[in-house]
Amino acid sequence: MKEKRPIKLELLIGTVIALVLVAGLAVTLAFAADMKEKYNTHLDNLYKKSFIEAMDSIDDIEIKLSKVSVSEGSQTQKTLLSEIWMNAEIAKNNLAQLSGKDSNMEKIIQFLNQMGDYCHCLSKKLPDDPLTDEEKDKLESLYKVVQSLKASFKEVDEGLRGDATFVGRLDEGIQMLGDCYEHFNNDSNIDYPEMIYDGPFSDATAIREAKYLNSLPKVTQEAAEARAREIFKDAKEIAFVEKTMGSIPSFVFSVATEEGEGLAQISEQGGKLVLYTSSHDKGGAEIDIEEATEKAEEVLVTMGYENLKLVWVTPGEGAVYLNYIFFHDDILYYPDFVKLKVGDDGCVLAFDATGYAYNHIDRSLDPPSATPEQAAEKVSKKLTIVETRTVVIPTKWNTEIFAYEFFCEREDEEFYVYIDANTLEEVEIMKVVNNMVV
Amino acid sequence: MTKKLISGLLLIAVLFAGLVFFTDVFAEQEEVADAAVLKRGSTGNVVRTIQTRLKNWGYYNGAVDGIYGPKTEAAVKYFQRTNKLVVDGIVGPKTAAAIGVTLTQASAGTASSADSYLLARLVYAEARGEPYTGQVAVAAVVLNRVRSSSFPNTIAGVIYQPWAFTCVNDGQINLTPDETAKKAANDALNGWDPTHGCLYYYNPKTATNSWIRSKEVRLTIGLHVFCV
Repeated sequence: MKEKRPIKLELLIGTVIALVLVAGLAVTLAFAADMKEKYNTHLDNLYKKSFIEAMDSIDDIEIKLSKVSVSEGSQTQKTLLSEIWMNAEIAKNNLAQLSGKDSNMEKIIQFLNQMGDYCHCLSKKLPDDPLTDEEKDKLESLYKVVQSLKASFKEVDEGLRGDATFVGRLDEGIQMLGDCYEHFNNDSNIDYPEMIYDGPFSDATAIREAKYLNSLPKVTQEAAEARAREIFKDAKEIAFVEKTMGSIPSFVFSVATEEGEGLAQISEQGGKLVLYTSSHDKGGAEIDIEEATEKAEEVLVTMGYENLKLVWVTPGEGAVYLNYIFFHDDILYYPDFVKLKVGDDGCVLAFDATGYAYNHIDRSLDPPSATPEQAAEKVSKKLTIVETRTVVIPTKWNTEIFAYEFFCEREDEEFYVYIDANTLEEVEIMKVVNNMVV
Repeated sequence: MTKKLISGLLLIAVLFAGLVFFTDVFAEQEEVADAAVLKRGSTGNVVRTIQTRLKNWGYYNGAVDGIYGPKTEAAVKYFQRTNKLVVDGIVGPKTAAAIGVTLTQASAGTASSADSYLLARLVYAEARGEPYTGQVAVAAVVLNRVRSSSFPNTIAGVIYQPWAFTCVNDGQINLTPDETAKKAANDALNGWDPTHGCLYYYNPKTATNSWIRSKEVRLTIGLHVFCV
């Protein structure tokens, strides 16, 4: 008997452990299944909220666009148009959360962005400047597109009534919406109006011409390479990588230096270094701004960029960003910018002349009709003007404004206020936050 | 034999317990901001404000250029001497208070804001191992999307748009970015765009989506092609 006891005990322990394991596994699986159910429900709720908000906003847009079309009062139109802008924002943000794996919703988001942006632009000019017939026609065609959009969302909504969920049948749920997006992408009955207007999402912003480079003669790949060797004198190796397409066709060269690897883009038109970025493993040393500035200005001269003025310095990690702007006849041309990033050892780590390449031309501006003193009158009395400059600033839709720039202070806050030099309108206010201008 | 069975079962039990309790990894680290001081080599608008004040009070006669050079340093020392502060030529909390500026916005370098950190995470998850310019380009594509009418208009909106980036779907976005990714994100935020406006990129060796392959390719950097 005594001899058998240990075996029995061992068997007993073994059985107990096995039972505990099985029970533990069962509990864990049940727990995991419960958690999964909760996560699914939670996620499905978020999706449904997004869907319903998007649909509600589209309904609202439809109603408001129809009201605009029958409204004659500028003030009513203004209110409706700015509400449409707000609804379009809500619809777009919620729809973006409902992208499917293979669904292409760019067109639908573009439509909502442009429609909202367009309504916003129109609302800004009201009530002083009434809607033109052309603008009313465009609003009418936007109304038709929204009606079509609303109809296809309604189908999805009906499909989702009952116990259907987005998450439970993820692919299918999003697919239903995906069909909506497809319908919107491909339906030839939908008549999209051309969206060219003064706003950041205007179709006009997609068309960009490198005005400066296009005024220069074309160079060959060999000439571009010779130019690269001239600019990067200390490089260990320079090798041709590829020719790029796009608005600034360029020859790309890899540049290996003591400090790291970089890529340089030399434009086919003009053989100018347009863009350079490089890695740099050093860092941590103190940056001497004056030294960095000297180095940057030396490089700018080598590259043939002249009459540039340093307007903004942003320290980064182990490097400093220097922003240069074309300066001529006491006017600063902000669109014509060249940026450099100089490392703490004085190396130019990155270079960007795209602003200059796109925008620099001989503008021959007429003298402004307003004086700086008249413009200063338009600046808020809460601000103390520290410095005044005559400038040309870019808009978000790639046009330019001739303006007076007032660098102002209010206690610890700093602002740049821009007043149109001809119309005396306040056109832009920038605030300095964390050493960046926003 | 039975003992082996028991110890085997025990081992399984321990591993099992480990599996249950340690399935989640909590390894997020917060960055600690550097103490804010301004000294020779510092730049920016706080420096500008300091120069303006010191100039108005007659301590400084150099240019108000936002650059903390030797003249600014000398002026700060002069100010510190006159005001019975420690004369070190460095604007720390006490000197700053005496001059009347706040240093919080002058902390080291560009903003390490939620956006720039998120962008660095995306760059690291999507393009670590790619050439530096390729990493800047990936960050630039995100920013081009923010400005495009066809995408959400915030950095988080673009990055977290479902299915837009594989690294967001598989959770790699939550890895801690390295210095290179942070620098690349910062370069892009400072305006560098090696792609000149591209909205997409893919790896031609692995991409299976025929729709993305129909896009117009503008340039190739490392393993990625960039297109519009």
